[in-house]
Amino acid sequence: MAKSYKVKIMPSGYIYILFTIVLSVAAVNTGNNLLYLISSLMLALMLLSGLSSLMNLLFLEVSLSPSRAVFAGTPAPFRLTIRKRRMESFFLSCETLFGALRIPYVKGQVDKSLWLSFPKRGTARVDNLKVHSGFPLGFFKRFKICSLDLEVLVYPKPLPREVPALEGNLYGSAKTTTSPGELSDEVKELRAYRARDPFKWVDWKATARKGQIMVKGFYQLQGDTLVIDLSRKQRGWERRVSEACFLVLEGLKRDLLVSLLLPDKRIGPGRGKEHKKCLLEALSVT
Amino acid sequence: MLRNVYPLSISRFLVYGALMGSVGAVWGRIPFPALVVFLLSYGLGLALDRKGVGIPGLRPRILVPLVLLGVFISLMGMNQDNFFDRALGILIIIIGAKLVSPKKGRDMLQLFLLNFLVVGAAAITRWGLDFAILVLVEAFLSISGLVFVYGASEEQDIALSQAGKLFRWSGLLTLGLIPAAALFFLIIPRPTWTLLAWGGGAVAKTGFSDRVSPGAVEEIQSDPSPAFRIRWIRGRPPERPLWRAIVYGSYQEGGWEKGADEVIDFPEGSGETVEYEIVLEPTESRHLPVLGVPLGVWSKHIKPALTTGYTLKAPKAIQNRTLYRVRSDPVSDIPGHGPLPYDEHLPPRLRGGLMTLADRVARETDLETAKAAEAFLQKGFQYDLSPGKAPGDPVLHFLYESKRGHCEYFASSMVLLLRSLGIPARIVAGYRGGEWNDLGQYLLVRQSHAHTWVEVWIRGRGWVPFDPTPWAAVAKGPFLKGSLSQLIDFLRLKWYYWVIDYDLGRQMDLARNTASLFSAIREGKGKMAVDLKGTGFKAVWLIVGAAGLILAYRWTARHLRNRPKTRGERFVRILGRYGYHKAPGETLREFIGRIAAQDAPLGRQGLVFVEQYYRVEYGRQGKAEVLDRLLMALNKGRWND
Repeated sequence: MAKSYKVKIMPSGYIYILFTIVLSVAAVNTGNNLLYLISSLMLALMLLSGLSSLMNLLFLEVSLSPSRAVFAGTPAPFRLTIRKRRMESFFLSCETLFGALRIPYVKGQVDKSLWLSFPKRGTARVDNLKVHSGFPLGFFKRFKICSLDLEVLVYPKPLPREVPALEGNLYGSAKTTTSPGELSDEVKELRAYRARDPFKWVDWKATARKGQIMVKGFYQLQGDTLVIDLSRKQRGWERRVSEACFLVLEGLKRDLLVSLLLPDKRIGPGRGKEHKKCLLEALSVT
Repeated sequence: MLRNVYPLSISRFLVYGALMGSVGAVWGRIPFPALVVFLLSYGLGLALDRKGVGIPGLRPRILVPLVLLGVFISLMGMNQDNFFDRALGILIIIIGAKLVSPKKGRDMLQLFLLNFLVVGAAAITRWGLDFAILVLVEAFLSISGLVFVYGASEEQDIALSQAGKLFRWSGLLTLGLIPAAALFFLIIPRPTWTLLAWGGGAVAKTGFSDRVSPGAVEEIQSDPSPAFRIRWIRGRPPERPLWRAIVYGSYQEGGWEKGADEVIDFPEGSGETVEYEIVLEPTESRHLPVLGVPLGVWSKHIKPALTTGYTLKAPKAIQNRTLYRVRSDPVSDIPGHGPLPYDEHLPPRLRGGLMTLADRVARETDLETAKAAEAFLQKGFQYDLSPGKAPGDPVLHFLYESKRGHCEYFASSMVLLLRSLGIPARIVAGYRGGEWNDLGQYLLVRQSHAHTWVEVWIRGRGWVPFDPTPWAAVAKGPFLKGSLSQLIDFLRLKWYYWVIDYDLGRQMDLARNTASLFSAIREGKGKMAVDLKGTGFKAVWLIVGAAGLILAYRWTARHLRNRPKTRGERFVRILGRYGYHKAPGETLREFIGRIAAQDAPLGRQGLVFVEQYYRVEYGRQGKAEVLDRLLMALNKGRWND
């Protein structure tokens, strides 16, 4: 992990430096060794403050990962793991371009939620995380730039709209599947074996673990299908993509089969988490 | 239950503590009105902060004119003599105004910085070791306060345990401050010029003046405070040193007056010489104690001259602690000119009274007579530091009536007895003996060691010293000789030596010594010319040793605390060395599964261990030795990689 340290003098630091200079001049002017002593103490405090702030940021390892789906314009929690290999850290501020977090104390490993908000859909890069702190005295602020190289796929911002009637509308049409009993490839559940279940559905690892025959249950491609048609780029494209995102979420929540037609891609009807992910990803990058 | 505290509140109480210390140190120099303003503000501010309220209606536009009024009053009548006190008063008024104002983070910062200035002012009024203690306490309070001020800018409230950790950090920072500040103090350049010099804060002792009466000696001898300290540089210290300060010649109305003290050149040394440094406490006297015959003297602050009595005399009274280095010939017989008329002078009205006793001590030679007089006084008279006021001449009263007195009575009697026989004699005032401080390897001489003795002119030898005062009776001061008092006095000496009197010359010496140390180390052990057992190095070894012990303790404690207690923990630690860290809540199987996805061979090896581990720990099957072997193999694998 690439890292670099920078220091910025805060206004209080400038005042402190000014006081140190005033006392040092007084010491030189009067030849009073006790004033020299106080000037030395102030210089030493400056030095130790710098060292302490460095130690505060030393041995820090950070990692950042999204905890759940990230939608544009909506703050999403990211799991920020800070590991202090030695000693302890006080009053850390973690900052990215998309959000910041304050952590009062770190020793060992600390997991925190860093809420980030991305303005646009698509692929967003979080190149680095700036960790900074003015500890111990607030005279100087020290920064550590931690490289993250995190790529986040930001889904479009869901824009609420009414789910179209089954007869069809602007976004496409809803219809009943013509092939009852047709199953999706996506596993819905693991359940106990029932008579007439084909043997190819048996999950042998789960069977061994449970001590009884377990089979995979698949989503049925049967029911109402919501076809979202975005095959032609039109005016207000971003708004339409956002509304489509809402429809995907809402449609799947209502247990509809959702299909998506994009200018360069076509995704057939389906249900389940994987299908949802596939649809949202397609909407993100279209 | 987790308890939270407010860092800003903590910093408020710390600033009150810091101000109490610093203002207390300059208490005597604050003008009375400013002191009253400060005390009222302090009490009021403390009460308001405890209740968490402010003074209603107190706005900067009301407060600032009030402060300006106080400043204006202080500025009126300010002159060169009272400049410091008035400026201090202004500072104290400003602090008072800040204390009654609302105290947010920025205000607290300003208060701590203003407090630094008060500590700076204390540097001008207090020079003793107590200043060092004050600075350390102030440093801790200020650092802690500033840490909490910063904490308040980050978090409104923090856990109590975190507050404890912040205090611990502040303590460590304060400790670290000592060597770092010492380093800066030693290397900051000292110019040889100053524009404005301030006097020290220590009170000058009366010391020996040009005229001495029995009452004055009594006063000096009853004072146990240090008079001066001597550090030997070269030569063997005498067992019972006599520190000559002043020579008295003529006796007038119960007191002695200084004889002529024309300035003469320092003589050339012949034979054994000694060299020593004396740190003299402030005194109203101009006479510097010295051993034997001084051959040369060096000092930064004063330019002493040698007088005809072979004593050292400064141009003016020594009002500040002063260090001077002397090279002496430690002879007991003082050479020089022969007796002057007043060395033989005897008031005519005393002659008759003295002759009866003088006849009893008269011998064939002057030397024998002097010895007889010394013995006569030592045996027949008693030492008493408070003999009371004598009716008439104190010497006659001592010899014939009271037969009790302190050293000046003994010395005066001997001188007058010898003069009545025509033998030139004089009184010498100074100090006798001292307390050897083993820890610091120096001699401490107190005011209570003040002494007067006799010098008799013996043809062919010079001025030969005699001490008619019974030895055992002298210098029984109320001082302690315990190791603690030795330590405190040692620290005090070091403080004067390394802080108060540190100058460009000492800085150059230090630089030269450091350079020679490094060159000696570079040249190799065999050629090392530096005394690695010297006192300075002892201190370095002590610090290094203490630091080593602390580090060793911390390492051991951490090692023991973090030591894996089960084989499972050892397994996790070994994998940590491979760069894989178990997440909280993750089972060993999940952990090894995660590793297997990235490093299949390590994953396989780990899986074997995990399966065996579960069998041993939970299934009570398998052998623990197998686990140990697996762990060893896994551990070695790391090095083989």
